[in-house]
Amino acid sequence: MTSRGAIRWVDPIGAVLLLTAMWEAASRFGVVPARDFPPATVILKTFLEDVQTSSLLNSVKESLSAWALGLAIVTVTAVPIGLAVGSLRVLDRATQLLIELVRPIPTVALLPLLILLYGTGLQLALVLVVLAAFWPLLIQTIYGVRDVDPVTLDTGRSYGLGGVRQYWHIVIPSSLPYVATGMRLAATIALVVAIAASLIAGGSGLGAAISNAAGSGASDLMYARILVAGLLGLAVTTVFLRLERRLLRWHHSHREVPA
Amino acid sequence: MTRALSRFALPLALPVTMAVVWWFASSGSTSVYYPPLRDDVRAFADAWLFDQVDSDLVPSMIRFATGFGIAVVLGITMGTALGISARARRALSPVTEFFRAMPIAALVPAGLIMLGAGARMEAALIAFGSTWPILLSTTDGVRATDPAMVEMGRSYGLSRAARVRRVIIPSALPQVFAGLRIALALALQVMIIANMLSGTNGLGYVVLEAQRTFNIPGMWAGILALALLGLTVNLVFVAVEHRVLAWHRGWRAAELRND
Repeated sequence: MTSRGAIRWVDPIGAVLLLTAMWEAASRFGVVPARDFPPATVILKTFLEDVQTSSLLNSVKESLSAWALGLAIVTVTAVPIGLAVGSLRVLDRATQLLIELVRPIPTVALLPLLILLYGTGLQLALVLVVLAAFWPLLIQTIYGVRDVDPVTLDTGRSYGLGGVRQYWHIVIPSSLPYVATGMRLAATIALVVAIAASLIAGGSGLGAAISNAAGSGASDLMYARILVAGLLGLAVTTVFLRLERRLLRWHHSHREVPA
Repeated sequence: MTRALSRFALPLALPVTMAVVWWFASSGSTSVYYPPLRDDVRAFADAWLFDQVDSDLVPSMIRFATGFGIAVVLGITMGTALGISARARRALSPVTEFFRAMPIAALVPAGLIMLGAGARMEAALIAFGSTWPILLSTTDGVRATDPAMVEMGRSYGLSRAARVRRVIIPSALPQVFAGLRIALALALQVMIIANMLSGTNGLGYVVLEAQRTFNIPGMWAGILALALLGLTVNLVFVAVEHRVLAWHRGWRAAELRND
């Protein structure tokens, strides 16, 4: 690393160290009750021990499986539906009110019903993930198709590109950046509801692991597991932001307002 | 005539058909989980017109409005500051990135430990969760301000504060609203999750409690109430956005005409 590169990292690392030290001091010197706010070093030690236990790894695995499977289901359904709705006027008209009515419904409101139908395991989290992640991806895909440059379409047509080939060579590539934005929004909200499912319903996901730690009064363990959730979120956001930037690099247009 | 038909009748067809099908398909229903829609609607009318308005709807809405209001103020002011100062932005980037990515559901148990159950905790969690998307979009918007505009403000003798208020913030507003839209959906979800986990009154609590006591029409009525709340909040948001960004749309339309 060059010295300039090193200097770039001084401020952020310094800020994190400062905040951690403030937390540590506040807890050690009794500014905040240490039972509820254990010192940062204690949380870190618990974190390092906890991530080696199979029970935590299994709960992370369950929540992540629901997240990944749900996102896969949403991708293979929402993208084709979005492509169809975005390019066929009749379908667009027929679905626009339905989408506007259903989209603002907060998904977790359905949790009590879904607990009755699916119990408390992976299936519950999976269904909730699908319901929450479907809409942002669908809407971004529709925006993407609508934003395809008509001149490009005409040009393609005059070169004899029609039907399926028009989709393959023009519509799908042009809307990909929007799809990527939709994927990022879907992936983040999917992680929130995947954790919320076992937080409220119980079971063996990461949400339950957090609330069990809180319920047993082990606040250091609770913070350690929240840190696990935060790091998962960070990984998901970083990967999808990278993907989005890569897909946007060649694309001239800016993104539509995200749903 | 046919145009009017396709413009107004087509969008209505699908939602109306679905409601009608649900109504008649469930009318003889003996299923525990899907009682006749008639019963759900009656339970809705009994509970929400207007028995539980004072006890549950209004408290939830106050928590939502307080939390979201705090997030708007914090997100826009801090986001503007970070947009202007590159150094502060870089120094705090680990914090902003981490909390933006944190699946907010995971923080509910921590909120319970720090603030105890109740309205204060719920409003605080809503505020905390929705601050980050607003902050990050505001930062992006401020950074994208045309430097020539800021220079012009300077040469017209606008003070630093006036440049921020009259040049930078207006030009960032479209981005700010993109962030507000994401935050709004998130805030509703947090409101419900926090309330389900710890509440003694409020919308989330009522729905989950109805399910636990096998009052299934009551549960459906609560879900309906939450759906309507989501819809209303969304409509208000769109109306505000339309009003606040009216100048922006006009400006962009003029720009397009000049191209």
